[in-house]
Amino acid sequence: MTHEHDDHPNSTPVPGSRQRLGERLTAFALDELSSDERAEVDQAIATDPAAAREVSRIRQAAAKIDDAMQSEPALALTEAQHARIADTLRELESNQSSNVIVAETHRVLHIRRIAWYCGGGLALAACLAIALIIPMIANDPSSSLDVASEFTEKVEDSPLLPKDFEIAELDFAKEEHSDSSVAVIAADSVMRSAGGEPADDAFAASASEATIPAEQQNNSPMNPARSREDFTADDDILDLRDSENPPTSTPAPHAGGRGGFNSGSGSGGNSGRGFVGGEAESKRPAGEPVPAGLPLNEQSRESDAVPLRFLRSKTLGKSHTQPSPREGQRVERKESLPDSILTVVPITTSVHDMTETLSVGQRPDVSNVYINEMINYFVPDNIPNGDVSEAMLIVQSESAESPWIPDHWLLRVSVQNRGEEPVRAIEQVISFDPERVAAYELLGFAHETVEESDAARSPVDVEGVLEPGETFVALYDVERRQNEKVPDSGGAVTPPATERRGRETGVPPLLKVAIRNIATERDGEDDRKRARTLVDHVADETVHEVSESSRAFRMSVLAAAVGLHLKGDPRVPAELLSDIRAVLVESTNENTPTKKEVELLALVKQVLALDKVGSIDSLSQEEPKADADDKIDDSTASEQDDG
Amino acid sequence: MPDRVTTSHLDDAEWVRTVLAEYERPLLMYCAKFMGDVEAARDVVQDAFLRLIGAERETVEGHIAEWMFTVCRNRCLDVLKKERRMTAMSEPRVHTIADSPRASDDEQIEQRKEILAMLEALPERQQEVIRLKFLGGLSYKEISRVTELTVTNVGFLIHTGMKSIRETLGEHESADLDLAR
Repeated sequence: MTHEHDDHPNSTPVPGSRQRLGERLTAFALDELSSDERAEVDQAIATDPAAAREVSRIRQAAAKIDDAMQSEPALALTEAQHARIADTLRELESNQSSNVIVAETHRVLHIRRIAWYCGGGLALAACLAIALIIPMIANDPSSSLDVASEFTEKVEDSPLLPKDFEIAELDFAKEEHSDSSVAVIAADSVMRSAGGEPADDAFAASASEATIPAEQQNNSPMNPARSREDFTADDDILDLRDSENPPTSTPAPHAGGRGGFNSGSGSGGNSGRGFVGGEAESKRPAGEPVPAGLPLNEQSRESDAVPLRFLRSKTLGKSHTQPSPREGQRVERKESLPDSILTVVPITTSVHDMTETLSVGQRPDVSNVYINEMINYFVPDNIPNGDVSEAMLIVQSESAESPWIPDHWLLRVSVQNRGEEPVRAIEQVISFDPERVAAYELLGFAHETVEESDAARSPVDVEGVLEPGETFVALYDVERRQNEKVPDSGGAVTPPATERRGRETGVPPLLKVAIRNIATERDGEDDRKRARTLVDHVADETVHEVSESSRAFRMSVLAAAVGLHLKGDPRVPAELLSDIRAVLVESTNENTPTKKEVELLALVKQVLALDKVGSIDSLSQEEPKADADDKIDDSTASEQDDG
Repeated sequence: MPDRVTTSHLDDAEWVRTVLAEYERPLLMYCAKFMGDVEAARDVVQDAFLRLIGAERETVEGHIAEWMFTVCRNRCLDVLKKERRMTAMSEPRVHTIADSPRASDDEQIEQRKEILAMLEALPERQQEVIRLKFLGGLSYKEISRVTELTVTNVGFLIHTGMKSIRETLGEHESADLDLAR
């Protein structure tokens, strides 16, 4: 060591200025020096009592600071947060022990996550192929296995095999249980979302031609020509809720341990959809013979100790352990984007309070502005038309160019429970294609439970439960990748079109939505969490102007815009909010607005009036009018304007 | 700390549980101070552990403390950046001075309060590195990687902060004075 300051002749040769010397001694006292440096300081303090005293004092101070910090009140995660981590860990353990296949009692061969596909038409084809295989297995296990194996062999070496899929084996001797419902429902959803049209993909065509006789195809539950009434009790695949002989099931973590899904009403209504679980399903005594009509009985399951090879996605089961972004959080990754995992959560009714605050000419506090509730509160009932209206859970997505940021899209994803029974323990997983999405932000999500007449009271909601009639809505701001290029069906790279349909063009879907049932099963003394995909959905990528979108979408966008504006978000200044409102008012004028639409427009009007952007009168003249019986009392606004 | 003892014999889940047991409190304390919001800190720490579960163990093990604090710090910054833009802080701030159940006498309690108050009064950077050092048990090098400061800068900040605290404690004879005699 060299001594660089010699202002006291007897000082020990310690390097640097006093400050530097102090830093050196502090580092020494805190054991931060390398062995060589330590040796030098050791030698120095051996001959310099002052330095030795200083080191001693630093150590004493360090001990006191450490003691003081340890005395700070202990913080801990909440029980719910601990539980979520524990659940995720159990899922990790579960995945380690069984990568893909999930046990399900007394069910036919299933492919748990095959429905999650990654390549537009190719993936659609994969689901279709699986769905075509499963009915055959159900009807005749032994021959169906042969067919499935034959199919797998045919596609294994085919260049048409989707790159994100692989050939996997399911060994009946190792897998105790199975469940076809996942793949069937998922594929059914895909089929439905494709508008009921058979896949025109070459892969799908070759797969179906290779394996499925025409008559079997026509009889497949996947055939959109089949109506709900066609799904009868002897339709093994879809008859999963035999109330007389219910299969054993795994209790769900919510609602007092009741099972995941129970559409309840026997063979009527939505019975064909095959949501399993519920209290009744846990009542079948162990060892009781499997009910007749099940597609694959225990005897055949035990005897079919032949590995079945099937298509499996390579990318499944990895994403949902990542933390789900929160509302308002922008997520950006170079190579991958974490899934956005949402579930039904209890909400409060702040919208009404906010409206009241505005009505008396006051600006609501930003902390009382909940964009999520605004998005959902103002969602009008939008029952879809067409074949999807028969499903119990309906997933819809809609996108439009963002009115506030160029090259951004707004995406609205909704899940509606069209059944007569609550759907329990569900979560919605939204995955964005990182090749096409640079970043996304969850603007808000919530589920609609507040009836217009009950707007003033807070509903009592149960986490994870989507009640009958409820709609669960999420709105995203999506930043597209710059110079996004996607391969067309011929392999050439073409710039994205502003309007297209992914399934028609072979373009990878912008996002995928999976509705999963999260159930917990007992494994010895441990609870194991498992997720079962019930519905898969690919976003409809017809992108257009907001004004050309559906009414529900327009209102969600306007609600988000006013919410962002009230929160002071620079993306939506008053002038832009006014423009958005004007466009939406114009487009809404073509139809009779609902009461909620009128209420939203009135709210925006109040905000703009507070911002001195237009007057109440001028804004009111532009507004559509609700039906006489449906019109809200806007007297408060008029009074304020008069004042 | 889990990465400083042998954890290779643990399976992945058990390893995460060990990390959770070890780092939950220090991470929460760090994030709470960083954000001034306990609930937000809880969310950040929960996210960090969920991210840990999804991470490749091989890439994390061996420097788990650094990894956890870095993830938490980045998340804190993200959230703070967003909150500054979107909302006002509504949650109660963290109170740093608290009675210690382990305090043996009034003098010790007072001294702890004094130290914590002084720590709170330090510039943010000094507070942060001192907390990472004493709360997280990180080395200078680890702190430099977490905070993206140089090791020298970390040493300077810790020394300066500790010196301020010592002066508050009545150690008016600082190193410089002592050594200058």
